[in-house]
Amino acid sequence: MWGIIFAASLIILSFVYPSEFLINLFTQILIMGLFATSLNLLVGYTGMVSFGHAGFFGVGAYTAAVILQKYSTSVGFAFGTTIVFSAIAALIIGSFCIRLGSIYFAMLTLAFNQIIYIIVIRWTDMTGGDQGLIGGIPLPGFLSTQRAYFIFTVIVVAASLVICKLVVDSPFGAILKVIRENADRAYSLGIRVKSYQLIVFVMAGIFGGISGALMSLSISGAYPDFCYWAKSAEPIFMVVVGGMNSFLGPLLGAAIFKILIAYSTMYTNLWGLIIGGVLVLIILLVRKGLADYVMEFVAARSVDGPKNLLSPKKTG
Amino acid sequence: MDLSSLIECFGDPGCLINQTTSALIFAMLLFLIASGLSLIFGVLGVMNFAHGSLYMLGAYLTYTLYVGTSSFSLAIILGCLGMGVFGVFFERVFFKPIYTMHILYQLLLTYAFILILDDVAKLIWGYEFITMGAPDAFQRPPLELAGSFIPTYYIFVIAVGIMVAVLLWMFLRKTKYGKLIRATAHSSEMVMALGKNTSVVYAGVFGLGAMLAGLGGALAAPIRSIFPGMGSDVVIDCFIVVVVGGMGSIPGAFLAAILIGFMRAFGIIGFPMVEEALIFILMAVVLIVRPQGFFGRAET
Amino acid sequence: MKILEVQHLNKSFGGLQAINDLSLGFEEGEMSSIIGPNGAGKTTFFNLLTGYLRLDSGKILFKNQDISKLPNYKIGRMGINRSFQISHVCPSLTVFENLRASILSKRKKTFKFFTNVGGMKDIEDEVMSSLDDINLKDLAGTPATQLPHGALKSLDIGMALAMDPQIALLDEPTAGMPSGDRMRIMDLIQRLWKQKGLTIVFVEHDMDVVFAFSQKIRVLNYGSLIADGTPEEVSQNPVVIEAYLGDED
Repeated sequence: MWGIIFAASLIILSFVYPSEFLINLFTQILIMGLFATSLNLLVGYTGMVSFGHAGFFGVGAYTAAVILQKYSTSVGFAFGTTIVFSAIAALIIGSFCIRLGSIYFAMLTLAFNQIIYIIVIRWTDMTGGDQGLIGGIPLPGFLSTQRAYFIFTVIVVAASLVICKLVVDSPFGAILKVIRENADRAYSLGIRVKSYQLIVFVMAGIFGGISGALMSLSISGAYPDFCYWAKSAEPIFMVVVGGMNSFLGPLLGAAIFKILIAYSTMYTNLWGLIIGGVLVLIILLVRKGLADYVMEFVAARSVDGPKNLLSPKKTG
Repeated sequence: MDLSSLIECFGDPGCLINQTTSALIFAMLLFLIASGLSLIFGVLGVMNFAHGSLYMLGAYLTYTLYVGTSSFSLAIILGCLGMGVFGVFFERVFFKPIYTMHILYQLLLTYAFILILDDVAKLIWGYEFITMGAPDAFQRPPLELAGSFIPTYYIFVIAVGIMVAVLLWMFLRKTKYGKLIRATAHSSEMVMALGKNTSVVYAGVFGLGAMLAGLGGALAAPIRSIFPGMGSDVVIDCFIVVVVGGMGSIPGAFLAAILIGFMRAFGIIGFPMVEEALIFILMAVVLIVRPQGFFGRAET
Repeated sequence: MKILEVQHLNKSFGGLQAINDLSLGFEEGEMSSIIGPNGAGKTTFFNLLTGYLRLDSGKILFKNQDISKLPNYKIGRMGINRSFQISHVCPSLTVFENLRASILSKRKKTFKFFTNVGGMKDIEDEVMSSLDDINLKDLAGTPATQLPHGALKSLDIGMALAMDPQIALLDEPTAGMPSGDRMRIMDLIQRLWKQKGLTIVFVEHDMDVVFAFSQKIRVLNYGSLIADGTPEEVSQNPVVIEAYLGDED
């Protein structure tokens, strides 16, 4: 419900205040927000720290871009294929990764991330190699303006977020949190932990892929940089800075990240210093995302109602 | 795939020697950097993404010192010491607070320092690629072996790599400090119970690790281009070495570095499209089959 | 009828024989205990029964079916549920959310992806009634980390019992509690045992608790069964007195 209002107001805003810079910035924020939210299904909800999520971003970006550029199909078909390919990639990669815990899980996701990166770099015929997939991606007329693509992005991201939100608030989502907190216990309750981990890994891969597809279409090209391992750190930044215990935290984190970069690059080339500095301060001093702060503040002010005692505090 | 070229190369002593040399050079530099990373991970328990940046700083520092003093040996020694001091400082200020944190924060904090140190390098040394060239002492005719030429500096690097490997291994095995380090890696509680100060060990190990990365950078400075961001490819290679060789194992790191050096040098002839992918597949297979690495101790 | 039975069970860690040719069975509907000095193999025995450890040799029969090769989650689903010596709850989740995991799993509702779990009234009612059983209803909204030790133990036990187990294995249900609280939590377990007609096996160190709440007592020492009988029989068994009760502490 809130999502629809928010999405509608964004669309209206794009008409009221048609700044190309802002429309572009918000398009990027939404795409990265979906990317970070998909990662947070793993990191925040299930406790699986993946350092290879950019791999799926890359799979999605290249699948959609290649399909549209070389086979000139419909956008719907391109997104359908993206979902299928990201799901397959996540299923294969996930079924290996879920065997491992903590740091080893992170290392293995990183290794698979790099394997995808190398495939992209070396499969020049299909992907354009080092240069990236250039030459533009043909889009149908109804998506050709920047504002039209923005509206399209709003709709796709909002729909994806609604699905994610439904899942984290479902019984399945409740079990994910139990696995995050105490997998050993979950087993004794008859829960086959690995199945849940694999399912959520595939989900995260699919939405990571969708965000990649949105990105390549928005900038009319796909680049190997999309799936370089360092790109995997970006959504982690967003999750941590925005807040991994709130559903919209990662989206907020994406906004902070993109705005920081957009404005700092106007004045300096040393945006890494700024982003890195923010991260160090947050990790060493607060260790809590912005959205988590807000949620806790709200929760602390409304704790007196008996309903709050009964219905568990929503972490979503 | 191009197996015929690979077979051809094996039949040609020139090609064989060239590729072996480049494999060994790559392996030695990789070993120096990765052994530090492996020690840090083994003892402190944190995978340090910024380790490649320490290598980068080592290279820059050596370059500046060499330009300033025009003595390469002095530049290496001062460069390593400088990195060691920097490492101790870095550990005390930024690493100490994160040992008890969730690995998410550990990984992200060390990643943040890649961004920061890269930009610091840009501030101090600028954006341009720097090539330093072989130091004066090595400006002499290359060694001729079976019709191919090996620059004397390459031999120097390989010799230093092997020497450091042996010294490091002996240090960890035979000396009092080495035993303390290994005991801390095994159980820091026990070491504390014995009345030893683990924070000194932590700072020392990080300093040593930074020094090794710095030495890698120093030796690489004459033969690689120096630029901000040169650490981020290297650190991933180091991760592979640490994973394949086993966390905290020096002999493991040495053998893994050599294995990867050869896979690269000969893979590029035999499987030019996928040689890099092969190395990551190796890493993935090791993680899946034997997560503690070939020389690692199984977690109990 | 024996609901759970082990035959010639063996398990060693390195050179240490933790369980040594152990054979025993639990009657359906019984509330019994396992005692033995530290290192006698009690927790190892529970870990073997619940699939958390693999046995070296022998058989574990649940209703005459060999379950020794089954993974732990399948054993959990069959109705063999356990609590843990050191509480295994989800620390940052509320008491309600912890217990809800048991109910969702028991009702096979965990693979519902698009239903709002907060709106499942039947689940909520069942969780609340299970919380009532273990006297934690008033703390439903409290995160588990903020619970006092006794309540934490109750929650851990409650999560096992809420599964409606055919046999519940409780590993030191009163560990770390003052003696008044011990009796209270055992009273609670006994009440649920009678009320639901459960089969309960518990490991315990406190002899007052053991003798007050066990119909049968099994004594383990060095991984072997050295006595098996009613509290009266066990307390008079010379081997037990020698091996265990004699040099307690």
